[in-house]
Amino acid sequence: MQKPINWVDEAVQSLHAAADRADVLGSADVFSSWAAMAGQIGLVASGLDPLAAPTIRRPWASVDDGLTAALEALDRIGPLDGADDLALWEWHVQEIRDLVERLATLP
Amino acid sequence: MNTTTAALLLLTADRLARELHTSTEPVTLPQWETFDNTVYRCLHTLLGPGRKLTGHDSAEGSAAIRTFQHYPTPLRPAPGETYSPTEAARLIGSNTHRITRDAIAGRIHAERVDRALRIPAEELDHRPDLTAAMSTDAHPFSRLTVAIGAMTDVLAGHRVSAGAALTDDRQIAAAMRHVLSLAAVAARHTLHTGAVADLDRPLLIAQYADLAVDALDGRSGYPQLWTMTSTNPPAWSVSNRGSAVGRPAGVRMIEAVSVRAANAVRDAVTYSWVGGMPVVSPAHARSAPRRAVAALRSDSAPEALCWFSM
Repeated sequence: MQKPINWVDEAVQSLHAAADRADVLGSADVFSSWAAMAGQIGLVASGLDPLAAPTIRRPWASVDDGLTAALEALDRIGPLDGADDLALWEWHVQEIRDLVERLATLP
Repeated sequence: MNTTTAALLLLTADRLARELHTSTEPVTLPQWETFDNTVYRCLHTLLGPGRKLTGHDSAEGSAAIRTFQHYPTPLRPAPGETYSPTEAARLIGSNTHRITRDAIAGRIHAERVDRALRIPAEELDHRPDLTAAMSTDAHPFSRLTVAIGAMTDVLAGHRVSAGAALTDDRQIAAAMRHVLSLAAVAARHTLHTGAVADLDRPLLIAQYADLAVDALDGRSGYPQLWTMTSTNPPAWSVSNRGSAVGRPAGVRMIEAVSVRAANAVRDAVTYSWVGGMPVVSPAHARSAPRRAVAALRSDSAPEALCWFSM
């Protein structure tokens, strides 16, 4: 029997991958906006599931792709199936994605 | 005829909250205040009127009571509640001494309960202009308010002997946590889209809701919400003011309105569910819902209005 997909875990993995990607864009410069963004994304991933470590490397081409994949995974969780504050976490991810979109347009 | 449950209405509210992010429509001050008042009424109904810390509360019950007590000064007092002079002073921005003096002099109606003064909510209600949101308002924020308001009405219809609708403190805390997380999302959305001059209160509620979500335990879920059903349209028959026959769920608030208003509602509505959202449509003439809303407004019956809004 096929194991049901854990969409929270899917979202967390996508967020960790997006954080990794943002870290790469930060080029190990701790003062880079991308490095700060990587930290923010990592915080949200840990908030969704503090125990889930990044295990699968996702081939997302961009930070935005990773965040979008995370949002799609969160959207698949029914409002009464996940945590009570899932709507709030989804809001955080959407906020970060908006910021990433703006950051990507900066020179 | 359709049946819904408090849980389904919470589910609808959650979906609507998640969709807020895609909306760029600004939230006006009246829309925010209606939402704010609806959330407070919902928390009050979940917890049950008059609930105070007793020293023998469970950890979840204690957290729920403290969370409710820390709600930033509500815009309207909770219906059916009574307040001590100190609580009343906080509600209307006065001081305890003045409230006590006015109560003793009879300028404010108060009752003695175990020798202590208790002031009914109606005496402290300075914002009767705040009424329920209407489902005829297509604004996504108002739709969220309507969903939470309707859930509150279903909960109010299932109160056990004037207590809380839910009987398990863990479920009360979990349901409060869910409602407050939706409030946090709504407040953030308002901060994004509202006018700067109107954002004091949304900011206060956003800060409060964030802390409250952290303080409450939401792990238990709330299976009791599934058992709280409501049937649309309410199949009541009105004999005279204040009495409805049959008392199906959801009728209780209709009892408070005039025969004219109740009949106007009965004539007006056909309920249907479209994509998980309750939709009210005219039963006879296009003007019927408008007449019903006008009748309920003139009756100052916000709960009935909210019910009708569903």
